[in-house]
Parts: sequence; structure tokens; C-alpha cells
Amino acid sequence: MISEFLFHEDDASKEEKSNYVNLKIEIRQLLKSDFNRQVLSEILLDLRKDVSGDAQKRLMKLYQDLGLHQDAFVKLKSWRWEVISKGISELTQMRVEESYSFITKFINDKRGTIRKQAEIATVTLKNEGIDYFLDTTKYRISEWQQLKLLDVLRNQEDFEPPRFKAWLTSNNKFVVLFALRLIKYYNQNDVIASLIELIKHKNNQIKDEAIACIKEFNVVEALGTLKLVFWKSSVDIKISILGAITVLGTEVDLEFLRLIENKESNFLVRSKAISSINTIAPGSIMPKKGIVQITGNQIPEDIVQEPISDTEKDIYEPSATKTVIPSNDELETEQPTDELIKGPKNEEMEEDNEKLDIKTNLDEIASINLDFLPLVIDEVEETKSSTVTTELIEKEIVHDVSEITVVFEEIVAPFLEDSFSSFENTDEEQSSLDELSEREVAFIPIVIEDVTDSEKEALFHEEELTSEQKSTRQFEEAIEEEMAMMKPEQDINIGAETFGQMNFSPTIFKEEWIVEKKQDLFDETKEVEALNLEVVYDEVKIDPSNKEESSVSDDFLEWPFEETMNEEYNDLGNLPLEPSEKSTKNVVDQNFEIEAILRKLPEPKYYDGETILTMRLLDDIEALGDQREVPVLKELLQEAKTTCVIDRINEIMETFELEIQVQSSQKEIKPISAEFKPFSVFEDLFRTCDTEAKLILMDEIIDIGDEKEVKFLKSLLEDPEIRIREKAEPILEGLQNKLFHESLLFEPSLAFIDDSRTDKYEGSFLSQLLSFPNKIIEKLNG
Amino acid sequence: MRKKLFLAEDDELLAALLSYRLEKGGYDVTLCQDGKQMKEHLAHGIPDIIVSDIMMPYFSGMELIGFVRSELKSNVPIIIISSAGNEENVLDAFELGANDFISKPVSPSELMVRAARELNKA
Repeated sequence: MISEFLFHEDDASKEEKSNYVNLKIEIRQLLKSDFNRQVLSEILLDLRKDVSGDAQKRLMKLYQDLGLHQDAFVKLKSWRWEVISKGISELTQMRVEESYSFITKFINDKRGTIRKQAEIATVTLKNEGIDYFLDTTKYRISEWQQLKLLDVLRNQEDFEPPRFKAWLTSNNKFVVLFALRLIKYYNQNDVIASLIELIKHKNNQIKDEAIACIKEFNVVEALGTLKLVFWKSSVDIKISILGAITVLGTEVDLEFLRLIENKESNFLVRSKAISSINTIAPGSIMPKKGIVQITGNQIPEDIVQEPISDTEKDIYEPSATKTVIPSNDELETEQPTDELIKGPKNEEMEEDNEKLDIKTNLDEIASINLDFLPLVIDEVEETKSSTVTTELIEKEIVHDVSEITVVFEEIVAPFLEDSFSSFENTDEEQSSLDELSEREVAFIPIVIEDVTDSEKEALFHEEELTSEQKSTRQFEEAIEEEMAMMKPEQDINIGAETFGQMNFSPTIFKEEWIVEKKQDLFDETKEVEALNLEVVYDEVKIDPSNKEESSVSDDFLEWPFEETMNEEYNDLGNLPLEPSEKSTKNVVDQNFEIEAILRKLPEPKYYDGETILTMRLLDDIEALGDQREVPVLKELLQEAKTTCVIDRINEIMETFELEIQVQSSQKEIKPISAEFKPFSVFEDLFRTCDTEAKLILMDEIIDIGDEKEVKFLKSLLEDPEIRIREKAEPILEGLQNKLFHESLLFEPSLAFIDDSRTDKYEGSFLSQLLSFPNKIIEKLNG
Repeated sequence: MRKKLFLAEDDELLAALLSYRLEKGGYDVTLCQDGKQMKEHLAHGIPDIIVSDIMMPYFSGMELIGFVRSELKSNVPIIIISSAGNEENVLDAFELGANDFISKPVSPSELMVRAARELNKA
């Protein structure tokens, strides 16, 4: 059907035309149903995505011809954001231009989704929509939204982009940013002055985008401003500026770039500056990192270099820029001294050079005969090697090498190899450590050698401790010693270390040992008392008869309380429970104060499963119930076996009795019914549910309803819905019968004796009984 | 005489629309919901032209081209329909032996023109 509408042509045959008219009539009939309209809308929207060209235009026209866009307009009036959003989306997809003015109202909607849809719609529906949007939007335009808007503009037919420079002065920085991007996209390069001004913008994004535009449009005039703002910019902006200078700059700008290279602290910026220099003036800065300067000298064959492992390479790499010292003649002719002093320009090498005390080296080397060149000095070993060589070599250097500033890194004199070998393993290690400490070695874990007891003692004496610290230290040592003495007599399978860690295990002492050691401990701890430290003396009680059992065995290693606890828990008949005899045998007594505190704590009560359930039920009854639960409580009382349950029931019943008394006394002053209307749960539920649900709920009233529902059911007898009215009558009768039986079962006499309860039992047996003669009269009359 | 055209497209709405347009343009269209169905139809006879979507369930457009060219050894013109952004697939399809392609959203009129051109070439 849709296809026929879409591909219908005016020059069709008569038969086709009549068929088309019939279809129109048919579709009009169909569209009277909202559901059909909705389905057709969905189909057309779906098809719109898959077709293009003429078919798409026809589809959009069909959508409007059938009046489906009216439904979308209705959606715009909804208070739900998703409905409004869908409405806008439909109108946009179907290009309903007349909706433009309605949709633009949503451009500054506080709901983000609606706002974004409205933005897209505004730009899509009319070519001037972008102007309106940029003029009016107050909100942020996300990057994604900018991309979508740009996509809409790109696909816009006959779109002539406005001069976007007009929005570079917008108060909304996102509009400025978007305008800059559009300027770049549409190559609107008549905005040079504005772009230069925007380099000074405080917002980095705008600044960055302005620089990108400057670069794109080759705005050489901006170079001065770029240099001005450089030093106060962030790293990213600095890199962007350098990127722009690379493109726009000339050799005049090299000076500025060199300044950055020397002054800038950030490595990335410095690297970019170097890159820029090399782009503007290729070959200005040559790569120097890791470059070995070979000047024609060859390493003598008698120097045997041991193969270096990869790890060693990594460690020595930074300082391993070994410069082979040329002969003196070569030094004068081949290499300018400046370069040698400066060495490689990279950061690491500069740091190394700073650390190197060239002067010291030269003084040391001055005393060495360097005739056997090439000399190679390791930077790391320079101090030690020079000391040794000073002792061994007595010849003086011929040339005044102090004038030559050269990095000497390693000396390997063939005839000195044996002499060096003696200290290589000791001093070299130290020197390596020294060097490493100068470098960043924070990642290496600190490993400290274990200190022996004798060393500890020595350290103790050496350290200048205060008298209090010393006393504390002595006390700690005394405790450690005593703890060390507390070893079990029998051999146990675990190691001594493990034993020491088991703080939770009860400590067992030999009686005679305690007698011997007790006095020593007291003497030692007296010293501690002098430091105003509170000392708690623990005593160990040992039953002599259980000496064997109390001695350390495999059982000793087990958790001592678990078994005891289980025993106590199972023995429910002896409440409250005392710690079992067995458990007390081997346990160290607590001090009196703690015991006193513990005695004050309430002792735990343990119930069996049934009692626990009953007690829980009673708790619930107390919390949620009222005097109506008294019959239930009485039943429970008859079944109760344990005294605690009986006590609990009596307690609750007393509470309820008290409540009744209070209520009755209040009623004397003011009837409760006058103040509090009986509340029915069903009444509340009926307010919110439909008829079917009401009918279902009414079935439940008989089962769970009480006197409160009687009044409610009576009100339902006048319900406008006939089904409810019809159902309410038998349910009311059923409920009244139920209440009648209940009142007989629980407290048959209560309603008659206590007049104060007649109000409460309104609608129950009593009220029914009272109304019964009236009913008979009514029936007789009726 | 009406030309026989096999159209494989899993989007029913689009398939119906294209089918209607092609039939109106003078083709005898056999509509297939996927490549597998098309393969079954091809077993009964080869049409004058095939129009197929690339992304289809069970048996993709690529597999279909391979089947026609390698197994059936047929030179029947094949026009593929690809989604926008599937340029790589289009290149692969051409390598396999597709004759032309048209990207989604499809313009039925454009498809008509392309189909006519391929038939004229053949």
C-alpha cells in the first residue's frame, strides 16, 4: 500500500488512478484508529532511513499528507521528556518545516535530551537554523553534539554557511569554540584579527582551536602574539604554539625556539622546540644521544673487555658514553674543546656532566703519565682509581691537560690490571653504590642486613638514648628474655618461631620455674614502675593434678574455647552457664579488675530452637499486636514448657491488660471512635485499584478482615459498580458470621461484661445481635 | 519480455518497496529474505540480474557472490547493496566478482538505472 502511494505517478492509467483513489479511501479509514496511525508512522520513519532520493521525498510528503505529523505535534505538548523528544525527532526526520517555530522553543530547555533534539531539529529544518541556534543557545554544546550538527550542515541541501566570525564574540564559550571549528571547516579565512585576539583567550580549548585555525590559514601575523602568550600557557598550548611556529616560522624565530630549548623545564615542550628548530632550519641540531664519537683511534688489542650482561648494560648505559681520548695532537686539530666540554646535549648527559667534577679529574690525571694513550677512565671509578694510580705511578704528565676539558671515563692500563684487581671487588662495589645513590633508584627495595644480638648491643651502647628510652629498652629486653624462657618442656612439632607467634595460646608455666623467675620479673618491672608505667602482674594458676594435661601437647595448639563453647551451647538445661571446669583448667586467670567488669556484664541466655521461635513470635506480638492477641497468648501459655516463655507471655499479657485499662479510662473522657476512625486496609487499597482488583480483594476480606471491614463493606453496598455491590452483600454476611464465631470462641463473655468494648466490637457479633431484631422487623416489613 | 531479477534483502520493508518499484519498472522480481533462500532459488535457475544486500543472516552477500561466480560459474550481473561506511566490504565484493554497488539509503530510481545499465552491458 505504501509502495503504491510512494510510486504513484500522475500519468498513470485510469485503472491505476481509480485503484489509487480506493487506496486513499481505505487508508483514511484505517487512520481513524490511533494504533494504525502509530504503526504507519513507525513504518514510514523506518523506511525513511533506508531510502533516499525521490522516494524519500515522497515518503515525507506522504507522512504529512496523511496528517501523521499532527500526532508528533501533540507529542510536543506532553510533559514527559521522552515523548517530546520523540515528537521532535519525528518532525525532524520527516522534515516538517512548519514545526520549526515550535521546536526552536526547546533550544534552551533544561532537559538535556530535548535540548539536543531541538538543536538538531533547528539546524536541520531550515538553513538559517544554525544562525538561530548559535544566537540563542545558552547551554554547553558537547563535542559529540558539535559533530552531529556539523554532519547535519554537511548534508544540508543548498546550504550556504553564514560568516561564523559573527559568533566569535559570543558570551557562550561553546558557541565560540563551535564557531571556530566551523570557520576552519568552511575555510572562512577572513577572521585573522579575531583569531589573533582569541589566542589570548583564557579558555585553553578556544586558544587551541584559534591556534589550529591560525595554522590552517597560515596567519603569519599571529607569530608575535603566539610568542607572547607562550610562556604563560599550559604544556598542551605550548606544544600547539610550537606546532604553529613550525608551520609559520622562519629563521628569525629560531632564536625564540632556542630560548625555549634552553629555558623550558618541560621535556615535551623542549623536544617540540628542538623539532621545530630542525624543521625550520634542517640539521641545526644533530642527534647526540647514544652517539659514540669515533676519531680514528682503535682500542689496543691487549685490552680485553669482558662481555657485559644485559643488566649491567642497563646500569652502566647512562654513563657509558665512553669517549676515547684522542692523542693530544688530535685534540688540538680535530675537535673543538667547547663541544667536548658540552658533550651530548640531551638531558641525561647534562646531568651526568654536572655531577662530574672535571677539575678533580684533571688534577688527578695531571700526576699520571699518559703516554700509553688511549686512556679510558670510567666515570664511576675515577676517585678510587686516581688514588691508586697516584701511589703507583710517579711520572708527571707532560702536557697541561687542565686546559683541555675532556670527559675522561676509564683508565685501563695493561700493566696495572693486576694491581686494580685487588680492590675491584670491594671499592668498585662501593663506588657503584655511590653512583647508584646519585641516580634515581627509588624503585629498588631497601634491603637491610639482619643485625646480630651482639651488634644490637653495640648499637645500643653507641646510640645516645635518653634515660627513659634506655629504661624502656631494658624492659623490652627483659620481657623478650622471659618470653624466650617460656618454651614448652616437651618437643612440639612446630618450630619455635611459630610458637612465638601464637599469641592466642594459653601460656603454661612450670610451678617451680615461676617461683624462681617471679622475683626476677618483679625486680625488673620495678624499674619500669619508676617510669610511671602501669604494670599488670599476671598470675598463673596450675592444678597440680592436671600437670600432665596442662603441659604442652598437640592439643595445646588447638583453639581452646571452641570445644568449651560447643559444650556450653548444647547444655541448655543449665542456664545461665558457667565456664566449664575443663575450660578453666588451663586458662590463665584474668586480673581482678577485668573479672569485676565481666561479672557486671549480663550473662548470655541460650534457648533451644522451639523456644527461640516462640520468643521471636512473642516479640512480634508485643511489637505489633494489641489486646486482641490475648486469646492467642493464652493458648501459647497453655502450651509453654519453659519458664522463660511463661514469664514472657505473662509480661506481654500484662502490657495488653494495661493498654485496655488505659483505653477504657480514655474512653470515659472521650470515646476513641470519635477521635480515631477505624481504619481498613482494604479501604485504602480500593482507592487505587480497578474493578477487577477490587473484586479479588473482596474475596480476601472474609479471610483476613475483621470488624473494621464491616463498616467498609456496608459502604460498598452503595458502590456505583453493580458487580461490587452484588459481591459486597454476601461478603458482609460472611464476615459478620465469622466475627460472631470468633467472639464466641475467644471471649464469649467479654463483649457482654465490658460495656466499654462495645464500641470496639462494632460490627461484630454483639452489634449484629443487637441489630438482629431490627433486621427481623425490616424483613417482616419488607 | 520482462527481465528476471533476484532480490535478496533481509529488511522486509525495504525489500517490499524495492520489489514494488522494480516490478513497476518492468522486472520480474523474486524476493529472497537472505542469501540462503537466494541460493535455493538459484538452484532452479539463474536470473538475468541479481541484486543483493551484503549483510544478511545465514548466507551473506559476499558468500552469495562467491557461490555464483565459483560454483555456478555464472557471469550474471550482480549489484550489491551495502550500508554506508562498508567500503572495505564493497572492495572485497568487487574482487569476488560483483558488478556494481549501491549504498544505503537506497534510491529505488537509482537502482533501476544501475540495473538497466548492467543488463545493457551484458
